[in-house]
Amino acid sequence: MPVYDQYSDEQLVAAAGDDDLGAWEAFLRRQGQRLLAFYTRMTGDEELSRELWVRSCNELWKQRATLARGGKVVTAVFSLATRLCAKTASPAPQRSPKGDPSSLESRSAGLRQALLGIPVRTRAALCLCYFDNVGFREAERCLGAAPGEARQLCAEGYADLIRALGPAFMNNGLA
Amino acid sequence: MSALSEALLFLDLDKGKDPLLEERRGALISDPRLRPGWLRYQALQALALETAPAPNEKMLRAVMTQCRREGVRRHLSAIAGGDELAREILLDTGPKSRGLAAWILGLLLLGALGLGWIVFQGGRAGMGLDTHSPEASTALFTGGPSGPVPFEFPVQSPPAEAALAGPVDDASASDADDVHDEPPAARQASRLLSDHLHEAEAREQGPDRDAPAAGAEASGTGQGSGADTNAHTVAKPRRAAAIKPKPTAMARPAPSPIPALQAGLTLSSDTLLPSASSGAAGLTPSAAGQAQAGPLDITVDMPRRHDIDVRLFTLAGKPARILASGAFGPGAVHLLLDAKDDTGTALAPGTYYLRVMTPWFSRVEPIQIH
Repeated sequence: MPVYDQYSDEQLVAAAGDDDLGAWEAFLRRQGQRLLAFYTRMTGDEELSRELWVRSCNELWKQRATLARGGKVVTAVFSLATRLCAKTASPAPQRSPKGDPSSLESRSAGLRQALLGIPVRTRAALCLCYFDNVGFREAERCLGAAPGEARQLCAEGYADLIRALGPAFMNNGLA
Repeated sequence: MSALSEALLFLDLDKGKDPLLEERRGALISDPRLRPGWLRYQALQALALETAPAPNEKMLRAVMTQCRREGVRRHLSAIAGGDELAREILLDTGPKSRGLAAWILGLLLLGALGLGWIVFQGGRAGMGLDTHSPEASTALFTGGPSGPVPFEFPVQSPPAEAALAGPVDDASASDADDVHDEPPAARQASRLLSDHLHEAEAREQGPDRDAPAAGAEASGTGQGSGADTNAHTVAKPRRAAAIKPKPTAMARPAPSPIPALQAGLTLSSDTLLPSASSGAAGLTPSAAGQAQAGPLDITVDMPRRHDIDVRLFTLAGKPARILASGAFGPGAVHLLLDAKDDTGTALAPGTYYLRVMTPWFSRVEPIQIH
């Protein structure tokens, strides 16, 4: 749907508010991967992430009339995602897949597992700011955090992540 | 530098908007102490981005289907006034409601077809009228012999009188009339009564039923027979109702055989008022619906000259009095009904039925004579 490419997220959601399903689909195609990746990092479970993604998309559609009110649409999207993740119990850490530890799959699984060891709020800040490139202010709105707290939480999360991954992980294909 | 300080530094370099950051990034890359950490920072981001799952087309389609259904359900809820019906129609609750929804849709379709037929018939007969409100006093008759004839129903009654209007007697009208407050059994009883009257009349009147009325004194503005004070009582009906002209009768140039009348006829033990003062052609009582002693003044408004038939029947269906039978109008036809039969003999006290037939409507009203 190239006709929608020229419009911002806010414009697409405003059109969706008028029951423009094409605009809503374009918005989901644009932000859907980001949202699903956030869920995957937060939960470490792809199946659960897909379920949360579908649920949040439906929920966002119901809230489309007020979605862009008072800020960026992405902020509202990740606010909902953060709330859903907070309500969802984190699954038990999974074992690392067997095989070549330097493969993309192994490293990806190792990264997810390391993320699961970080506290939820810190993990959410890390995922938002570091992986999903959400600004600190927006992340604070998503988390309901005080000013400056998102930066601090993200830094703590990153330090925890590096510690959990260990030097071996970094040497497998990284520098 | 601690891990936390390093993380803060990298985050600021990554997300900061300082124009000097590019310069600082260049310095970092050249700094042998920070360079590995910065590269690791970027490499982890790249790894996460590379291995991020993407929603497949099936997921997207499922979501879009849900969104579409939710939008339709929202509109349906607004129309139907509730979520339940909308949910059932949208087959949200499984195979059982799927069957129910199919039934509902089928019934709606049948209803639409029936309504269309009624409108079609009404249009042919020029009777697409809603006479429920006094404002609905003007209509266009299109089915008459001479083509479209503008016709203004007489509206002579104030709202209070309209509220005392008599029951509906038209079959097609009463079915669609939402003013009825009688249970279906009452309507069925009225229908049976009307049929009974027709059969009795057909048996006993024979070929001379169209003969001029012997005892009736009726004309365009004629008066009825002499008054017999305190002979009977005229009073209010039980409920408000509207009169809808009979479409099938309108299509005929002359009065047809009595159509099947049905209305919420009420066997009144005390009072009776044949009132059609709701703005349509019909009967108008002389005392505006209030109980009175003396002859009953019946007014039939005729838009143009035509045959009418006004008779009084006993409960057994035997004609007791012919008030009018022949051509009358245009204008108001006043008929006086006292408590005597065609031969001038006083009628026995009891309940009788007054039937008024015009090309535009038919009506049966119970009358109590004391």
